[in-house]
Amino acid sequence: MQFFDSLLELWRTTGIYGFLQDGGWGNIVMIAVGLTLIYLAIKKGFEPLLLIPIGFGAVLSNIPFAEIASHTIRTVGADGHVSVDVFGGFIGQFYDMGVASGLFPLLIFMGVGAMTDFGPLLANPKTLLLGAAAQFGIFFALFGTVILEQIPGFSFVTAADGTQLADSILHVAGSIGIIGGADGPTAIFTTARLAPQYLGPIAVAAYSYMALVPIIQPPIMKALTSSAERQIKMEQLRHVTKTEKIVFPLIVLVLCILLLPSATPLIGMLMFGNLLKECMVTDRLSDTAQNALMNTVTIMLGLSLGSKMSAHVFLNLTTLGILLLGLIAFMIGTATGVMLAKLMNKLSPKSPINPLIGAAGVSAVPMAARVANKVGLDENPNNYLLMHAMGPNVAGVIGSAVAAGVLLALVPILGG
Amino acid sequence: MINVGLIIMAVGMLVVFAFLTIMVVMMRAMSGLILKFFPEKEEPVPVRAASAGADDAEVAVAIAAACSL
Repeated sequence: MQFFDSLLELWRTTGIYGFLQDGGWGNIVMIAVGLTLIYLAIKKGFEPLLLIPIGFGAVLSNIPFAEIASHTIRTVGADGHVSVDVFGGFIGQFYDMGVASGLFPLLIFMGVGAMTDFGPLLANPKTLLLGAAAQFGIFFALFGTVILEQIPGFSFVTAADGTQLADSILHVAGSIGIIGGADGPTAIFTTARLAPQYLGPIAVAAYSYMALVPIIQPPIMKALTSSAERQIKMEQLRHVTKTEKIVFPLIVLVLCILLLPSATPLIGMLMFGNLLKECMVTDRLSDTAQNALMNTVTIMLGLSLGSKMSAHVFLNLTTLGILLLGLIAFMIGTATGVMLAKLMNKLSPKSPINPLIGAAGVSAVPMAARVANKVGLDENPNNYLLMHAMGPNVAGVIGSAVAAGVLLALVPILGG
Repeated sequence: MINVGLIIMAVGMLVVFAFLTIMVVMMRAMSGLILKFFPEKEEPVPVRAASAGADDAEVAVAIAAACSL
């Protein structure tokens, strides 16, 4: 008799048994979503460095009984002594350590800083304004989220079963809006702080739209500009001295310290990485920041994000809302960038700006700059805009970090 | 909440623009000062010693290899 009992007990630990239990179908669907992401990454080349870890993380985290994504449970005793009751699964531990704490996006930002050349921006500082204009998409989508929440029966804050998913609609709105910054690490950092339940869909939306830049942007750019505007030739960028490049990160940091401390984790790490690159005496550290460390963190970050793709949040009408609002944010950001470039040409016609580079203001480095370059080349095969577009492109990174700083400072106060 | 959304939109865009405008001004000032007081010294073009014969040969081989591709 004991033989059959043992067999039965073993059967009850199998995945098949787990999938047949309550909520098991959600796991199956999420594993399918994970596999779809892996397929898109390998076959279609969509951001493979991130989507493969995310996809695999989604598969691993939805295995019944394995509890790979479970979090460590701690109790704090009366004397303040912290004891660990149950250790979480390995992806759960990655998540606790790096995503919930905001550590991974910051390390990635350091790597981005070490890879970024701010030279084109220093040569033509006014392109910074294009990076500011393109952030309008963020705030537009934020407002759009608040409007969507008014629709009866559609709520970002409370799930259908009454679970509270976020502190307030503003917390969700800020996180969805930041997709429009087209900057993965910034979006993750902000969402982990404001509405961690939505990390999965928001991270996937942010990275998917970054991969789709070459499809989303050109029609908008062409619709808003005339052929003559697209052919505008820009003056060659002046040479930027080494001293300027070294002093630049320090100045940006000081400015951020004085005006917007809530953005200093992001901007600080970006500028730290950039200083490592530019100061010439820390080549080893710069190399580690942009290669080994960045790759390590990307693996752990991807797996953690995949673990947040739970059926509970993902298989929901709100996910469609997030994808839609993210797309709108992106398109509006592209449009306002182009429009501001046109306006600047009206105001100071002396050294004209090709309005196409305004679209590069939505970060997504360096994809957006390449798109601006390509659309320009389509119009005039001798007009290379890449270096000019890198200015607003890196300005967009700073711009979205500043926007994130504003959201992190304002939302918790106004949202209550 | 709609009001609050509008407020964040207005304040947010204002702050982003103000911050980056100040940055433009600061960067102009920085570049002006640095170019004036710490101009980059003209890097002397490194003149190879006459013993560069071997290098020339290597370059010639490289060029020949590149051309034959």
